[in-house]
Amino acid sequence: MWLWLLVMILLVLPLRVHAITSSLCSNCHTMHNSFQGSSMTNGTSSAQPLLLKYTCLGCHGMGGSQKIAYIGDIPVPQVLHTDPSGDLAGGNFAYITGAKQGNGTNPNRFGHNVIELGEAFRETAFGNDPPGHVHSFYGVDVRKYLSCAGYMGCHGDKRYYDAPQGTAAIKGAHHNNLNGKIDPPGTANPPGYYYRFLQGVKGYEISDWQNLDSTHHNEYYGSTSAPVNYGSFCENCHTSSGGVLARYGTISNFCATCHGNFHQQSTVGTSSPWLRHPTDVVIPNTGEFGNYTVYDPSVPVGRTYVPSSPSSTVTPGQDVVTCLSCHYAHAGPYPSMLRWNYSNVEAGRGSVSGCKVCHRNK
Amino acid sequence: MKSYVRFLTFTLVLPILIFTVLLLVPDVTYSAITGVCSTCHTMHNSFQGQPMAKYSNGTSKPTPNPVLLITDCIGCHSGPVGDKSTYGAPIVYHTSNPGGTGPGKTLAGGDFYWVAQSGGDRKGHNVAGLANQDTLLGFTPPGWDPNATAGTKHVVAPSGWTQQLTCYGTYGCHGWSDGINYGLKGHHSNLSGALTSSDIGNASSVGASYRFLLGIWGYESSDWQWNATSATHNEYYGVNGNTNYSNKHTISYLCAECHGVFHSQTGGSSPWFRHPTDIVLPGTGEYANYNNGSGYSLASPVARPAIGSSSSSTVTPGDASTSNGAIVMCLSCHRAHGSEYDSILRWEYSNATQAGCKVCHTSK
Repeated sequence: MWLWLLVMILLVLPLRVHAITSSLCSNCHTMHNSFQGSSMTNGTSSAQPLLLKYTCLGCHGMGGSQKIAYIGDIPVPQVLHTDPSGDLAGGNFAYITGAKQGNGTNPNRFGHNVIELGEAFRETAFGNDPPGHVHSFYGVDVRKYLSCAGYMGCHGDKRYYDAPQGTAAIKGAHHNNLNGKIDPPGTANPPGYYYRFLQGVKGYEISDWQNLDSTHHNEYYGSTSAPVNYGSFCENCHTSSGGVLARYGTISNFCATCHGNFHQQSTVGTSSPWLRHPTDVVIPNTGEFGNYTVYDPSVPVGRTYVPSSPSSTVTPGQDVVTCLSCHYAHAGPYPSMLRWNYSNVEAGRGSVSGCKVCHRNK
Repeated sequence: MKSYVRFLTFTLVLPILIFTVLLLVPDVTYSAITGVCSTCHTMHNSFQGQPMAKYSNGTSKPTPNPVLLITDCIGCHSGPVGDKSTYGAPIVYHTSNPGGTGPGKTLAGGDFYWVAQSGGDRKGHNVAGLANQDTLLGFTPPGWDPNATAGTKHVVAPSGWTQQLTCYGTYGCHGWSDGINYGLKGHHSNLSGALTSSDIGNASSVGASYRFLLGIWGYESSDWQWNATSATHNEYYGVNGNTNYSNKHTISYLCAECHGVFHSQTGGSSPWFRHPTDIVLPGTGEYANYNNGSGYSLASPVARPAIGSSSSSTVTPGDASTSNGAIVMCLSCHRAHGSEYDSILRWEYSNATQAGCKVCHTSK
């Protein structure tokens, strides 16, 4: 009897654990980049790594009118689109390309000029290195290599020197992608185990990629110790293999791997009066800061734990400032990738928005 | 019917009215300072990879300034001409000769222009960044006596003056002194008009203090006396009899924090050993004819024993209690920052045939 029951249970259970992405293989992959003698890839004639039919932007930056497009039956978040209803949480590269109009005369200032956007949109300012870099990138002109993913990109695994660029850097991530609460142990898991495939980063992924209101948004992981209070140690950003890793798992630690001087204690300070605006620092529960209590998706805060769901409550004295409190990750409609027009935020008058969501009495 | 209307009024109309009014009232109290944040601040000291910070002379500075400021005190409060700098801040250091002190030339505190010139040590406070260390005095101010102002928040270190005078902080005049950089924190909490509530023991009082001079009371003229007249000007707080400085809110107390001997060792009564301050201008003799009866003198101003809600042209010698009263103070003779005259005086002491001393000493 017990044996029979066990057999029945095993028959009911799936024989293997499926990938999170569930759809037809052929929606994304081509085995030989050939269909009746023609290329199967989209936007390029050359075969793509991982047998993919698309580049990063081929899937996620179609430039269409929907912020969530479909490839077959797969909803695909768009990071370059013209949807008038708004952008996804990371922003929209369309402000750089001009497909969407930003507020300013230099579109390059609206976002990260990833090379996938094309030669015409390559950054021309700066030197070889990103602003706020702790040290030289050893003569490499980062402007020529900043990519969606990989060793000189944001997404994917770049823990090893000479890690691949582009789609190859996120190998397997779409198949072993976690969702919801992202809090894996350690930092040695594949990129699919981390928040939005950002190696090492924790957080809560909202299912439709949108920060809509106080109850519907991503949750960003922060800390009150890293990176400001850790000083200038190589391991804040690097692995022993010469790669790059946000060791402490916070979204700000991740940004600091390229823009370290905007984060570390020697160049930011450790307490007021600050030299640069701090991140991964608790929002005080005193004075003007104590009034920020309802989550404003235009000024998101970080949590010092990884939530299981979004919360509409902001708790000064506990929640923290992150880079994304002020900036978009990809691009936005304002210079410096800001979430608001910094040159219009005024002290002493005007609405409670932008800087003043936290600095309420300024 | 009337009672029904009254019922409706109190139970329905009135609450709706109150609710509507509350909705219209903003839920925040803004600071007195207004303007675009980016005029004064830079979040990361970075603009397209280049530093945003500036030295006081306007040249690029690779390292950031405290409180995320683009420039420092001098950088904000200096300019070639006029009353306000390109940052909208009152100018205390004109980079071009303003041609003298007074309305239309400098603001009430005078100007650091002259002390910044070669050989100008006697014409102003030798503030670091504006002028070199005083060649005669060194770091220590003349008359320094920390015991004269018990509880002072300035230069409390037993080692004394180990560095040059600064605009703010432990070795400066403005701001909070426990931690030199705190001196800057006050512009957003700044109050204006009549200021009579600040406390010397509370850093948060910096913004509520007269011109960010911690604990000092007074009335701030909105244009810093650029267009001052006998009726429109700053009002300084003073009291009659304060040699032990139990009252820590007078403008003369602030000066005494660095120049204590000039206040604690005056003699107490005539014959004086040193010219007294924080003492009522007598209502008798030559003093009764202060400024020849023409009221408040911008050249030789008096402090008031009470701070009114506006400035006044009336001066009543002998009055030691009202906002029209007359108290002798340091600023009756000296500018706070600098002037075209030696000893930072308001007039040429060696040629006091005109105004100056004789505004009070009318029969001398």
